[in-house]
Amino acid sequence: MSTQYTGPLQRLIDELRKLPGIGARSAERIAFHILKTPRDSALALAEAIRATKENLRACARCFNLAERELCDICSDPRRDAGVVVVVEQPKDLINLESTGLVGGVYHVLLGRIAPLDGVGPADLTIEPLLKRVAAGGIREIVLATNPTLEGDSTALHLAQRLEPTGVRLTRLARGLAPGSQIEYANRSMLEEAFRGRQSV
Amino acid sequence: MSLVNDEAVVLRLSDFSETSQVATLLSRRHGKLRLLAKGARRSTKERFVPGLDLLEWGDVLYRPARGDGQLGTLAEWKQRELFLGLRDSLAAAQFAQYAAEITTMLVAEDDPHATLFEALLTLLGGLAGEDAAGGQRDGGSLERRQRPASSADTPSTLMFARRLVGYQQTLISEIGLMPQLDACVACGRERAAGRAAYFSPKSGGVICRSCAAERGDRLRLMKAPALDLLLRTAESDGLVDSAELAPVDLGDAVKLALVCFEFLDECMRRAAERETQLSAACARLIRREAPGSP
Ligand SMILES: [Zn+2]
Ligand SMILES: [Zn+2]
Repeated sequence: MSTQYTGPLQRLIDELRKLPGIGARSAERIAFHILKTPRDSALALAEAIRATKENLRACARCFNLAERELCDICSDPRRDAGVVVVVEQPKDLINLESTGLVGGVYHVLLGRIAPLDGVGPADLTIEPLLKRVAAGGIREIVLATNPTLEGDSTALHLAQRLEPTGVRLTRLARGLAPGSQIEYANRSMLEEAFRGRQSV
Repeated sequence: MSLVNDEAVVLRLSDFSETSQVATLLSRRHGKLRLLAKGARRSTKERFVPGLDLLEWGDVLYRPARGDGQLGTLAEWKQRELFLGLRDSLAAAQFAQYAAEITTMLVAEDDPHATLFEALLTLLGGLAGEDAAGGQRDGGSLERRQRPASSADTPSTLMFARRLVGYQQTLISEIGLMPQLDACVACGRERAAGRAAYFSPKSGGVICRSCAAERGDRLRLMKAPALDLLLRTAESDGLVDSAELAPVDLGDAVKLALVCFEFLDECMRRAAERETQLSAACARLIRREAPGSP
């Protein structure tokens, strides 16, 4: 596996190998595939990567991925801005969104409180969430962090911080087995969890 | 190599790839294990397979690592107990994760410690409020949170802290690092019960002033209640009778728990030559229990 290819090809292989789930063999295969591909479609990949990095940013309100200052959900007037679903990461939002049950908007924490990994409350978007609530207009906050030890602890922390605001707090129902992750949950389980959400 | 089965508690999970994790476990018969859990985070079409979660207890089937520094492979995990109560109290969750951190830090792979495993289960059960001696829950539960957290937290966080100190002590004795506290490490002269003494971190135990002067050790005064508590906990295998040890005054009780926690924590960090993520947060939680603290 120590074959060295000439300059650019080796660079491409090295970059591909950094991607999740891509080993040395696959990196080589993909690189040779790109080498054979017509110029336009190969460059379309490069352009898509560039556009993702340059044009996508965090939504100024909810920290979802956005192409403009506000994401598509925050800028949609049909969404109920009075209900905010709090998730750990954009992937959870996408999966919950696929159920079609969420009529409200979201808030992405960009992680969960994970002391063993050195991630504390200050590393998440909790302050911006408190500011959103303080600005008014929010009736319910659905705590949709993962039902893992870290996700549940994050929800408990949020509940304690949000309690003084008097906003109604709910938590996804236990349709999701403890220890599971929203990112990998299927549609029916998420529906059950969302419909059965309970006050905290 | 063939598959091995054991029971274990999950100490640490780190992402390995998009769908797999490295799980660090403390097993009953095989000590600490580091296993690659493939597809641990994936769900199937029909039914969600809950991945491993931190601090759960289960039956493990695994293929041992082929050599030193290699990962074994997790073949099967069957959950026995989640200790769901850990999710009802931030203090319980922090203390439990601290226990996982120091265990991971100090226990070597393939070095079995059945006593320690048992002590960890006892600690987790106690922190999760699953035994009679666990005291009342702190009311932090999302479902049951009615009372203001500040007043409701007090008795159980202190109770949790005592349990944690008991676990620290079991861990430190199991790996043979418990400092000598009943007699001078240099001349062997016994410390009379109920008397304060000097402790030398460098020499790893209590020491008389004259012996310390000869060695040029830096000394720290340790008051009698902390020394007596540490000794009694050691004699009782870490299972302290909290009623017997509870000073009448809440402030004294908090101070005592804090001194013992920080003393053992420092011994462990010194032994591992490493810093920890959760020590400071745990100390803060204990300190906050003192009456009049903000
Ligand atoms: Zn947005
Ligand atoms: Zn001496």
